[in-house]
Amino acid sequence: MEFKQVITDTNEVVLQESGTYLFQITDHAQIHIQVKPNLTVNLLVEIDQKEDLQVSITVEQDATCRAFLMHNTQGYIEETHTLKENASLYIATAELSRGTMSHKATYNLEKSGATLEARYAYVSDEEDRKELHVYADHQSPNTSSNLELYGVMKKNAKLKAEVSSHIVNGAHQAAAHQTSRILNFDGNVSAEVSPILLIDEDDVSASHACSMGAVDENHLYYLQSRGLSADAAIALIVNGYLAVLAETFTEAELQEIILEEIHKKAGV
Amino acid sequence: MAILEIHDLHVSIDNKEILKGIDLTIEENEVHALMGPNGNGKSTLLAAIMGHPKYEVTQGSIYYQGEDLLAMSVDERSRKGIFLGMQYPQEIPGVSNSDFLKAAMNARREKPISLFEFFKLMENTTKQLQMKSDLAHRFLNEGFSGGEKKRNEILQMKLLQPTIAMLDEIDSGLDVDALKIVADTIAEMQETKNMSMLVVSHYERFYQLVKPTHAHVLVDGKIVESGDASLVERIDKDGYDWIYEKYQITLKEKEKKTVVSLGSCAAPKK
Repeated sequence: MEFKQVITDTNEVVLQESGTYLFQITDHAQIHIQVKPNLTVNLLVEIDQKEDLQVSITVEQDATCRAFLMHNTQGYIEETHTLKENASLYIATAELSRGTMSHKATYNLEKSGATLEARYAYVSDEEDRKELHVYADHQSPNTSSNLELYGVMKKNAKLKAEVSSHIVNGAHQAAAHQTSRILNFDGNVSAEVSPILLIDEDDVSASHACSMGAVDENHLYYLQSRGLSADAAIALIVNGYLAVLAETFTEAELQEIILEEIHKKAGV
Repeated sequence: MAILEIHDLHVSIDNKEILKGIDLTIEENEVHALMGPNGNGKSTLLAAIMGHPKYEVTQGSIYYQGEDLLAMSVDERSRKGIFLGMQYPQEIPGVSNSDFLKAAMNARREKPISLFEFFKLMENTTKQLQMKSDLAHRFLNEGFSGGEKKRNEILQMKLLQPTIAMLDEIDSGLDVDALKIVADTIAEMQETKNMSMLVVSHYERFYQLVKPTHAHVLVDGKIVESGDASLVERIDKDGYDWIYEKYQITLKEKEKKTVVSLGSCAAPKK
C-alpha cells in the first residue's frame, strides 16, 4: 500500500491534498486532523499507547473523509469530530485490545448536508472492562448519521455502551439511525447497551435497533460438520460478523487492511 | 472392515426416544437407500451419525472403520471422512463461501491449500455443477435458492472427498436437470473414490440415478425391512401399507383436535 504521507506523533495536521494517509500514534496526548474543502482522503490511524489520548477530525465543506482507527491502548480515548457543510465522514473503529479502557466519541454535524457513518467493533475477552459513549449531535437541517456497534463478548468480559443521537430543534429533514448488536460466547459476560434518541424536531427520521444473543448453535454445528474445530468455526463467525467494518472504505486494498486487522486480532 | 457399523442404536431428543434400536452395516462402495414415512427417524439417524449435539445417543454403538465414532466430536467425524449433505443447509451471514470452503479443506490438510490451487478447484467444480461463478464471494447459503443450497452441499462433498456421504433429501428443490448434474457428480465420486453412501429420498427417480445396492425402510425408530433396489421400486409402486400389514404396525393415531370456541369477536357489536 502506498501512502501519500506517513505521519507520526504530531499535534496538528492539515491535509491539503486528496489521498491515503497513515498515522502512527505511539506517544502523544492529542492530535487534530483537518481535512480541507473538496478533498477526498483515506486515513489509517494506528493508536498504540498507554496514555490517555484526544483525537479530533474536522471535515471541511464538501470534503469526504474515510478513516479506520485501530486502537491498541488502555486508558481513556476522547474523540471529537466536526462536519461542515456537505461534508462526509465514514469512520470505523476496531477496539480489539485486552484490558480496561474507556472511549468517548462526539460527532458534531455542524452544517447542513453533513453525513456521518460510524461503525464500532468491540471485542472483549477474559477480564476486559470496556466503556463506550457515542454521541451524534445534529445541529443543522439535512444532516444524517448512522451509528453501528458490533460487540463480541467472551469469558468474564464487561461492556457498557451508550449510543446517543441528538437532533436539535430546527434541524428538519435530519436522519439519525442506530444499530447495536452484541454476540455473547459465554454465560459470564455482561453487556449493557443503551440506545438513546433525543429529538427536538418533528420533521425527522430516526430509528434504533438493538440485539443481544448467543451464537446460533446450528451455525456452529454446520461449520463443524465440515471439519472445522469449534474454535475455527467461532473465528470464522466472528470475522464474518465484524467484516462489515470494511465497508467504510471503497478501495479493495484498504478494505483488506481492515479485514486483516480483524482476522489477526479478533480471529479467536 | 466395514466403513460404518451401527449396533442397537437408541437416540433421543429432549428425552423423547426417536430411534429405538437400529442395526446397520455399510461396506465400501455400497449405496444404501433409507426410506420410510415422514417423522419416523431417517434424518435423526443421519444427524446422530454426524454427531448433532441435540441428538442424545442413549444406547448402542457406531463404529467407523473400526473406530468408536461416538467418542469423536462432530469436526473429528468430518475430518475422518464422514459427510452429511443436509436437508436444510444453514445460512451464515458474513462468512463467505470461499473462506468457509478454504477453512474446511485446510482442516484436513497438513499444508494449507494455495490460493491458486483453491480457486482453480472451485472454478472447475462450480462449472461442473453449473453454479453461478460469483458463488465464492457470496455469503454461505445466504439468499441462495433451494436448488442452489443443495448444489452447494454437493460442491462441498466434492471438495472434501469423504469416504462415506450421507445425503438427506438432497434431491428436494432440484429440477430435473440439476438432479442429473448432482447424480453425475455422485457417480463420478463413487467410481474414483469407492465412496459409500447412505441416501434419504422419497423419490424413486433419484434412486434410479444413484443406483442403491441396499434399501431399508425405517418405521417408528426401527429398520423393519431391508433388501436390494427392488424394495425401492415396490415402495414407489405400492407405498408403505404392505409393510404396516406385514409387521402389524399400527401408526399412532393423530391426536384428536379439540375445537374451542373463542367466543364473540373482540370488537363490540353495535
